[in-house]
Amino acid sequence: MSLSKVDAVIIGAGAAGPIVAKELAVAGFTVVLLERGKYYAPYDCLKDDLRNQRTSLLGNAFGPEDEGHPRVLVDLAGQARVLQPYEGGYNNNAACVGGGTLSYGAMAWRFHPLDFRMKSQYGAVAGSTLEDWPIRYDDLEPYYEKAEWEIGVSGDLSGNPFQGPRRKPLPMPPLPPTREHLLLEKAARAKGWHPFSIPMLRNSVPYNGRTACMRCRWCVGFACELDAKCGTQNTVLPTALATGHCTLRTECTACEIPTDRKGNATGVRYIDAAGKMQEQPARVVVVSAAAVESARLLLLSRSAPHEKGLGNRYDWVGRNLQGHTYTGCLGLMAEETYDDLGPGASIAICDFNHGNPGLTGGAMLANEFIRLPIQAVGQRPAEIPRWGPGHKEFMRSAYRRLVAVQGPTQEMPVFDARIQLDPEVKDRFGIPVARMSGFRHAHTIEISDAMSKRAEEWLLAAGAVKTWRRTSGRGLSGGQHQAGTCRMGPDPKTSVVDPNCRIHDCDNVYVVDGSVHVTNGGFNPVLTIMALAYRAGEHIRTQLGRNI
Amino acid sequence: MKRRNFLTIAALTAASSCSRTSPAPGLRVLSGKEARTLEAWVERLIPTDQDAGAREAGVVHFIDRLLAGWLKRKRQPWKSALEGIDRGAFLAYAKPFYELEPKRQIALLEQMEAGKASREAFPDDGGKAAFELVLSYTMMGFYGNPRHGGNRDYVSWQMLGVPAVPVRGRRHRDEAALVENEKPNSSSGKETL
Ligand SMILES: Cc1cc2nc3c(=O)[nH]c(=O)nc-3n(C[C@H](O)[C@H](O)[C@H](O)COP(=O)(O)OP(=O)(O)OC[C@H]3O[C@@H](n4cnc5c(N)ncnc54)[C@H](O)[C@@H]3O)c2cc1C
Ligand code: SF4
Repeated sequence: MSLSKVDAVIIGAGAAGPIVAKELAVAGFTVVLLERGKYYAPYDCLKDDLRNQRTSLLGNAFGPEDEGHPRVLVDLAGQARVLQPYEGGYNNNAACVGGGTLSYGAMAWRFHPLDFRMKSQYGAVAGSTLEDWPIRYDDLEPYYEKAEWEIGVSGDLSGNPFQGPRRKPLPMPPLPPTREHLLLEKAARAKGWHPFSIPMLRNSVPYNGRTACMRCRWCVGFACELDAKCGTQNTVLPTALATGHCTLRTECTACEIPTDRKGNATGVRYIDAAGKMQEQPARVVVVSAAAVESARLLLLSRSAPHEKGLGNRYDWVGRNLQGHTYTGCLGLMAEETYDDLGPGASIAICDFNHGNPGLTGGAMLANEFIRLPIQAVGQRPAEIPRWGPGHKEFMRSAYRRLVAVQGPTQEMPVFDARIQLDPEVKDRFGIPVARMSGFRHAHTIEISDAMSKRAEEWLLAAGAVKTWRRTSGRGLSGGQHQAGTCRMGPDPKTSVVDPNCRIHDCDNVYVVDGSVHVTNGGFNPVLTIMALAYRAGEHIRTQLGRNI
Repeated sequence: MKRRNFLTIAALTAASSCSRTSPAPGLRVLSGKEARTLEAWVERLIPTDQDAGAREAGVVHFIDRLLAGWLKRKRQPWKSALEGIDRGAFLAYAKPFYELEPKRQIALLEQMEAGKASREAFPDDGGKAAFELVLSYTMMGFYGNPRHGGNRDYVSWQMLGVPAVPVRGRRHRDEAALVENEKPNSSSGKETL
């Protein structure tokens, strides 16, 4: 027996899904929100250095579970490997209520206006599907603002001349600076650059009924025991649930979007917590499962009107998988900089996001989150041994003097960097898993190398006595900043969703998450995902109101 | 290969397979001999000097606990690694690894790291995978938090000057884990590598 019909069923309670749920529920529409992971309260914060969303050597604290959820990665040599969620290359984000926002580092960047107009600004790049977004910064600006105020952002952008216009400042001031921050700030100023305090989805002062950050060492990759980090699970989701119109169903995994003869969705099939197949009928379906799983779900949803999968008439679903190429540089300072103050990352420059001669874009550069001892282990110059007395001496003498500067290099989208269904490997429910293949564009590596050099300049100006740059390989990108697999565009032949996030050849299915990003900016993506969700939520609300 | 060496290895292998009937006292999975080999190995990776090393941090205990849990279904590479390094030591010096002088232990580990240890000891890759496996878990057991049985008394954090602050929401879990840690070995002997 199927469940009673609702206005909307939303798949995935991550950064995007709960925002759409809230936008619909407060307007009186009935919503079912399906999340494959579990719900964690702040006291479930599980501060474990070896098992979290950043260092998953012993698994992920916030999903997916260690077994039963494999993916397949095809490497540059064409070799396919089955990977578990804790292995490098799996491209995990999270599987829990709040998704990545429960445990993220919480940088809250707006993209730069030019990030929406990459092709017009720089021209085509050979071997890349680089394109303009069909919407512009100005279209998103009100929704960026809404995300900043409703979810909650602290920081101070007043010193950053490289940003789009904004109507309102951020609702909270930044946290006080660390030693590292002061050193880097002075150095950037001396270089003539424009340093400022990173915007963060974190309470620096009490806000929205939750307390302020106490600056612990376990932030990025961990949930916050004070609930001071602002995610969807402690903001929009409680608002949605309080309306009485929204139901959250956890440990429920969507596996197909069935359609009628005309090709419109009738609801969602999912496997519930007890392992039983259920069907939730709905007027509208919203897919917010993040770039890898959203593409997988659309490809799994085959029917006569959508033979190759929902939205995949022209073979664009799963294409253009991208993330960010993080390179940067490490520096050993003459003096100790470690002051044991989380979250660590606090100062940034946007001087090199655009305007780099010969380069199509660039990256925001910032200092890194505070490093736990286990995370410092790999951060050594090439001549330091990996083990033995040399290793130990380096850790002992360098740990408190290490500073890293890095940035999310804007990537050149590659058509063949893609998600498909694996022909053999299945998950614990017997459903084909995501097969990831492709590579990074050569120009992406050129840009990221140039950004590493800028990071090095910054560290040297701050007094580093030794520096060593990071480099990147050509392997597939994606990871926690995964995006691009259901491109937004005006033309059904070269994109998957329209500018309102609706799948082109279907009246009532939306994709709302990083999948729709045409390009992924030179910034961490979550605030853009949230802004898009507010904007799509508003559109869906209007649509639902119209066709009663 | 010299006949004498071959015989010793055969004898060793036979002997070790019967001695592996039960884990050593205080351990859940590793036999006494395996624990000694592993301890000598991790001691070379993070040696004791003015500060505690992997031995004092309880890295063997950490790995043993994982072999009973997280690594339960991934024990084979550990078995091969511990057998392999001993075979390598025997082939070169006719002694088990833990009886070698530190200099020789280091030389063997360097060969493994470069994938150049004896193929008789490590047929697939000259010891590279075994080396990387033990290295990565040694780092985790030394620098990670004590919940999993390593980094005893926060020795590595003391060395780095990182305070072991009690964090709300973490403390009760750490304490629960430490109690679990101290449980005596109740294994029936089936839990060997
Ligand atoms: C440790 C860490 C640090 C980060 N730091 C930052 C940062 O500082 N700044 C920033 O901008 N970004 C950061 N990110 C990235 C950010 O969290 C993501 O960009 C964002 O969460 C993506 O939002 P989403 O809604 O697309 O996907 P997610 O947040 O991943 O949510 C998708 C949800 O869908 C669920 N789901 C998937 N498939 C199904 C299915 N079939 N059925 C039901 N549910 C399903 C998943 O379980 C998940 O909860 C970080 C991420 C992590 C993990
Ligand atoms: S640094 Fe602040 S926001 Fe992050 S987990 Fe610690 S207390 Fe929470």
